[in-house]
Amino acid sequence: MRCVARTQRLSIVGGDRTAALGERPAIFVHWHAQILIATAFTLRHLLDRGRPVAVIASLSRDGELGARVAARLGLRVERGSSSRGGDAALRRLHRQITQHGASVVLAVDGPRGPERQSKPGAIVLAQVSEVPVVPLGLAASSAFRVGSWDRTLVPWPFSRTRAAIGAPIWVPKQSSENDRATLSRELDSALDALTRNAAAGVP
Amino acid sequence: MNNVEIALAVLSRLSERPAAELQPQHELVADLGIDSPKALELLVALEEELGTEISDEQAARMEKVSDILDFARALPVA
Repeated sequence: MRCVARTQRLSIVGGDRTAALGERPAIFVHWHAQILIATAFTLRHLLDRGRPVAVIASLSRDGELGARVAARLGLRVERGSSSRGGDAALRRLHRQITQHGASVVLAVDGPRGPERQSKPGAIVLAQVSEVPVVPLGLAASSAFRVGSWDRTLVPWPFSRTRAAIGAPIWVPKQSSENDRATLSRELDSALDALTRNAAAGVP
Repeated sequence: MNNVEIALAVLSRLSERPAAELQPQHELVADLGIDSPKALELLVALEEELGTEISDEQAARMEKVSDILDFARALPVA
């Protein structure tokens, strides 16, 4: 994982958006298929700048492997998912944000889809923690896809990858369920548009 | 305050209702309007103020005021 992350020639569009956040934590979200490029982004754009980062790993066997890898990379790992153990994990992510100032990186259609349809957890977490959701679109110039539910992208070593950072989405404290549903749809659209943006930027 | 009083205070604060108005049979969602974000806040506050962790199984059983008070009552006294 470290090799895949470190050998990517990652470029970033919209880096001023994270700079504008300053020390304030945020919830960075991406599509699950782009998780390996998201890892590179997390290590090089967030963690390497001294920002604590928390992620979620599912309670499955695959999640256990992911959790160990993430921990070795210096990430704070909370176990759970939308299908199992999710509420407790959200509570712990909330504490990571509010007590430790950690940013969070989440694959919003994980752990098992439906592909490219975000689950409500990130929006709820943003509302309660009073931090923004920042969408990421990620692409690689040269990659293959594994046979998973989302055909996860695996960039070839030394491939060019690109992260397009979107405008922060704030979730007002008094948002209703309808408001959150609207924001979720906006988030999905932003993630797709940013993915196209990122793909257009890698030859 | 004992654990039950603490739990009542948390419920009162998050439902924006005086504790004296909260009835054991009140449902968190239907009667107190505790939606997903409020539920997250509620559980975080209960964990912090009761000094405990709430598992997903325990959280799933918390549908009424009485469920939360029973949970608080069952905790060891600090």
